[in-house]
Amino acid sequence: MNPQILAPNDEELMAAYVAGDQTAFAELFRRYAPILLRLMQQRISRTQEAEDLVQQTFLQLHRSRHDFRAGARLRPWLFTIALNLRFQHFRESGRRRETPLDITTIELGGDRDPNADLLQEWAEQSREVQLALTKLPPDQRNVIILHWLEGLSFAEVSRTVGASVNAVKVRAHRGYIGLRKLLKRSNGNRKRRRSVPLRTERH
Amino acid sequence: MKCPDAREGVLGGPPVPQPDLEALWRRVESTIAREKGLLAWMRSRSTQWRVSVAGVAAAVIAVTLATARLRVDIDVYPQTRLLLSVGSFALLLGALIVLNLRPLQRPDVSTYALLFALAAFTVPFAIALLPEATLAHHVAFRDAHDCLLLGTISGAVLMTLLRALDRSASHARALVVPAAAGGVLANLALSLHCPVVSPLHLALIHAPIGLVLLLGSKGLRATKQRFTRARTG
Repeated sequence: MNPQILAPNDEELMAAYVAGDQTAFAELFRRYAPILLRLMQQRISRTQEAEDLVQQTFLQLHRSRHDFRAGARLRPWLFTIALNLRFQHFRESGRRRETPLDITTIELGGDRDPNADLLQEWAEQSREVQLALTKLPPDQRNVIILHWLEGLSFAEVSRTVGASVNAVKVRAHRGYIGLRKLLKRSNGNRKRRRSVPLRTERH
Repeated sequence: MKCPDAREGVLGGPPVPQPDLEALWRRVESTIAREKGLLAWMRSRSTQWRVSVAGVAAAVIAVTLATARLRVDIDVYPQTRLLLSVGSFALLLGALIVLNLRPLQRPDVSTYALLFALAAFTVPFAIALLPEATLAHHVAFRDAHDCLLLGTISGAVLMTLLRALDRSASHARALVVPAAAGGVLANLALSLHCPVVSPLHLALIHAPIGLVLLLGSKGLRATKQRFTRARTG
């Protein structure tokens, strides 16, 4: 039997937690902590700060558990808490901009991985997308992160960011156009960089 | 780069050093284990419950102050003017309570909250500086200390309750809206209680109560922080 068929969904877990089941909260943490960390690290480079905000998010989830109504979806609920906490964090620390975690600067490990080239390519692609995302206006970036990366529907994104569905669609449309242009440019640059050593080899 | 590749690049990407989720879970567990006592219980109630409690408390404070000694000129005081001031204070108070206790799972409206707080600090001055009611008592500062004391105490009670019901973390800006709400409640209660109609009395004694609460609470907070720093070395 497929265990996934029996696995409770997020809303069932939340309902169980509200009813007093502590293990349901642990399971929610297991499912969402990595996603929320990624969400925080998209704008916060210091791991400690990102972890603190994730910790705060789960504390707020605990405090607001009696606000959770049957029929509501947990994912946008949790993302709104996380984004609000991140916004507060920037407002209080007086910082406007933060650079995301630059994964190309991370050591890939001691022994050379047989897939090192693939990983390097992956790292480069990821860095380009993250860099392109940081260049978008914040309202477009948030919509794209929630819709494209985190898989929320436009209706859920609209509830999360507090704008109408149409406004969210417009932001997403503009954001995707901007992102495509930025990625095209960086793709071109990458290809040019790669073609340089090849030409030198021929001469 | 194609769209799914790019998405994979960000989501499933290369081995980013994973933080120790076990350690993070232990931190979350211990934070939640500390959520005990009356304060934690109040904060974990539903938003509807918290707003109702704050609303009822504000109404009880205003009615108690008014019924303890209703302004002696209530029969002759211009009703429209009284309704205007009480109505605007009540509306502002309601909005400030709702905004202050807005849960974090709703989109942020801190700009509106600050605008309402700004209005709450200025509207009492605007009402105070309206032309003096014709049935004015020719006194400006009679019982001024009573008004200041009663207003500040009633405002401080609501302010403390709003802080206690607020789920968000404590920070300097979190004092603005509760202080504004406390100031508005003080003005609302005093407008039903104090018969002095001199604009000078209203502008110098009643209207600044919100600012007194804000500065007082900021001062208390700074002292507490200094004390904590000194103790922890």
